[in-house]
Amino acid sequence: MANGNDWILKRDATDAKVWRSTLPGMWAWLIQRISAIFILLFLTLHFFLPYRRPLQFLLLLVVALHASLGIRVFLIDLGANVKIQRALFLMSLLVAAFGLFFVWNYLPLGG
Amino acid sequence: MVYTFNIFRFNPGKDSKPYRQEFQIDLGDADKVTVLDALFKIQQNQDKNLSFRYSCRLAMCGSCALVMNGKEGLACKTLVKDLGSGPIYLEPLRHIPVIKDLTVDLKFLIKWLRKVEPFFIPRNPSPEPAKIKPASRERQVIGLNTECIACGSCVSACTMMHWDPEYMGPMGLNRAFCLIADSRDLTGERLEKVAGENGVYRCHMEFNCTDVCPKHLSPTRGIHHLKRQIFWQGVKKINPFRRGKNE
Repeated sequence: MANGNDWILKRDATDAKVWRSTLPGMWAWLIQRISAIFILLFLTLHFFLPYRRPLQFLLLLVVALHASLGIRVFLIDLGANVKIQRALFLMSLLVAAFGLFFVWNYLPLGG
Repeated sequence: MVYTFNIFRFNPGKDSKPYRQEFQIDLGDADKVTVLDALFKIQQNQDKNLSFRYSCRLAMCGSCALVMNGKEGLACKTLVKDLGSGPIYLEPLRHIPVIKDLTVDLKFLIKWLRKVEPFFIPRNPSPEPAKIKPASRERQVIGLNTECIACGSCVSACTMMHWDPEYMGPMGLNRAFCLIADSRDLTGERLEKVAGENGVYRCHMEFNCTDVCPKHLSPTRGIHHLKRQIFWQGVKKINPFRRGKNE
């Protein structure tokens, strides 16, 4: 971690303390980025293995998370009060759960 | 009550690498004992070489910012009892060079501030005082963001400072926001600078700076205001009905 002659302390992802002190906004960001990677993975698998129910469910789950957290980012970008960013995070998770429940139970997925 | 402090120790002139040292101190009835009080007690009774920075002790100067149990804050404002009964981990601010133990080189904060031309440039040279009412929209937009005490907590909490040390950082961008949103200031090239590679678009909206700010400010809010302003300025430039207006 040395930087020339200076010694700079940086976040160490292997340190449990760093994860314990991770705050809601950071979790929202992490979940959205990780869900994006899983969308790519599950979409590719879905292309080769269509109409597999577990795979469909997992794909829907990560899309719902990514989309609902995207709405949160969109609202804040448009000027939503940053004081409600934690509440927006929780609301995003609820919207994702509701969206997943609705699509899985009420839309024909060809399974 | 006896508390255990696990403190980051490093003397660049002497030690080859940092290490941690545990101190146990009896703080008695610790209801109103701050982390800074505990550090004084450790320095006076156990290790006179322990280095840390402080000045006002009133949460006004920002000198005593530290990472306490993984979260940034002011040592003079944080009560020991609020950090739990387990070992209390104290570290210097991240992303800023360590001088010794918990003391960091604050001139690096100035380096990031300088990138945004942090000084007021009057738009109108008139000696008459400007009239901006406290309830005006302009003043409301800037809000409390002018209250920054430059403690560096936001710079330490921002993970983007880890990946891009040239990033202007939440503290510099908050200062830029306060000036750009002020109608008395001649923005000049400041907006173009913050729109650059190491400017506002490095912010990924993690809200770490907002969550740790000891003055409860939101640099993220300022950064997003700047992003919208850059967007609307771009829209104005491509609006065909406005072409030639400024020529």
